[in-house]
Amino acid sequence: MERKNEVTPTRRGVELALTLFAFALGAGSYLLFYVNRDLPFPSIAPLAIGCWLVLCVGAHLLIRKLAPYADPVLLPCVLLLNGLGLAMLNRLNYGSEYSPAVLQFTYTTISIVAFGVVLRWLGDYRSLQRYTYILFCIGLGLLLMPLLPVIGKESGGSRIWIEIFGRSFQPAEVAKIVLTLAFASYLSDHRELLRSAGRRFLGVTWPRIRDLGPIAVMWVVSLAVLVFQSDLGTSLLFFGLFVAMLYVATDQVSWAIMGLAGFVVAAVLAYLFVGKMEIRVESWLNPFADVDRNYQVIEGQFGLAWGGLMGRGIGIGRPTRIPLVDSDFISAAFGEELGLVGMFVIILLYALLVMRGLRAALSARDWFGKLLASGLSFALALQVVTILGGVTRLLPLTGLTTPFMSQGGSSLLANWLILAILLLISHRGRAPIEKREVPVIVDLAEERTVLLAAVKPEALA
Amino acid sequence: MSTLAFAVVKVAFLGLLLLFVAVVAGVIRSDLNVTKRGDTEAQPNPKRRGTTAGRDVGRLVVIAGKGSGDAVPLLGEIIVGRASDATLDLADDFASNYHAKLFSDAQGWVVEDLDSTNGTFVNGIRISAPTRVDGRDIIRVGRSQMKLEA
Repeated sequence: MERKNEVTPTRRGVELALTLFAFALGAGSYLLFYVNRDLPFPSIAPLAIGCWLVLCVGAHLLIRKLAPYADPVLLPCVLLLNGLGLAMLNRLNYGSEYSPAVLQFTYTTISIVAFGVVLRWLGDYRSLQRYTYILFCIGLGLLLMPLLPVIGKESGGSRIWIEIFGRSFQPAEVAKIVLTLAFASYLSDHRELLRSAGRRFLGVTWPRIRDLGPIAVMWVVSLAVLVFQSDLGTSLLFFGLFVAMLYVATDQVSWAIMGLAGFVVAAVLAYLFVGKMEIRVESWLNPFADVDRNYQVIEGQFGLAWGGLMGRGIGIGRPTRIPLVDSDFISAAFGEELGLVGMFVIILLYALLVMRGLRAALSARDWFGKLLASGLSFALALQVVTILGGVTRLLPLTGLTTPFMSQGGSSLLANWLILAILLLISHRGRAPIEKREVPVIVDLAEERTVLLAAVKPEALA
Repeated sequence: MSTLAFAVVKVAFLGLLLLFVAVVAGVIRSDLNVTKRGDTEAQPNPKRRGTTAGRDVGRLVVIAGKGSGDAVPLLGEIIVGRASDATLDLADDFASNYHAKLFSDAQGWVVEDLDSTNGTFVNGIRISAPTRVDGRDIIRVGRSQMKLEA
């Protein structure tokens, strides 16, 4: 048995094979557009595919070098989503003078470089645990930054961008990571207190009033985001994230109940006092009542219906009819051209990412890593559910990006950083125990015998 | 491109996408019993309870907790924890995946805590370094107690 852990494989070969598979599918969907449309391949195609291969294999090599025991399926799933997204952006903007696909490719490159930097320099993520309140303040600052005059920018009715030197950026995407770090560090310190103090009522342990501070602060912040930035998606994401992490940390249903109640109250308030919410709910329940106003949702629905089970085929649909199809509604474009089957594959890829993220949380040996991995996975899940639910009219539409697919540099960067952190946690959790330093064996016989004499009767009882 | 070729390509691409998911699922599945592979080579799997190997040498027996009565033979190195590939896997929510390790040297058995969340206790005292144990000592991991048996 002592040899057991020496055979713990790194699984990097499997990852490379899956990475190449994901690369091929991304490149294939890029080329299929030209084949299906009977168009000649563009002159840039070999270069684009070559660069994509370099990025895919490069990301794999970074993991091989820096986190060799990490989960082997996370990276390939992300690369497939990212590749399909890039190909779709190229397809959607075919013929236009300025293609966001090129820009998005640049962002992907930057994101993968940043991914490598995090893998290399963060190393032991537990060092971040010290900066609870600093992280919290930074995260909060980022979240509320778009409200500032001059740099804050409003677009499409939501004030969630900042603009510096002509480049716009969504700080909430980075705030997502920073606040998850802050929550994880706060909760790993306070979980025992939050979980044990309180009284039982209705079969559930309710926390003490004075322990309600953090959840109250988050509630107010989320409400502020909702009211002043008119962004339901971001607000929902942050509050949901916090409540989920509280629940994971304490294992007490009461926190989840209070979170849900708080959310319902906030939603009702928003519906009553924020004009935009009423429009959103109306376009969700009854979009055809006002075709002009709900044009986007309706076109998305038509796209999905036209796609059917197998889709029209890449390049054959008309997804460009949908406003904002590059960002918020990119999943509707996939639904139209790859059909229900394609949509299911995409949803499954996200589900696999979330599942493996939670798996990393389970295998983490420290509470900070556990909470961090589960928080990040949950944020990803919540974001996907919110935006896909909005596009398919399962939920009121809220403007969140589809992770790894939507056009937008901040979102892409943030999600690649999340991937890096998840890989680091999974690497630590899966590395064989023997690889760590074994302290020198000390013989405590002397002291123990003394202690034994005192303790043994109770211990045996 | 002909209609037929178009349809074939379309379905083939979707098929490949599904294949990707299936392959990933396969990898995840094989990931579950990755560490089992090494077991079969050198020694009989000590997890199999009640084999002859278990009677010749001593055993590590769970005496209190959910898995009360479980035992593994004292062979080589024993990892106690919640992980399915731990030598003694405890169904104990308060145990870490790889909670503690037992190994022997010339003088007997030693228990070492593996940075577990809730600590490893010998006779009620949390150990901070590898500690010698024998049949008289009670080892507690999470809510499970165990001892060595001849």
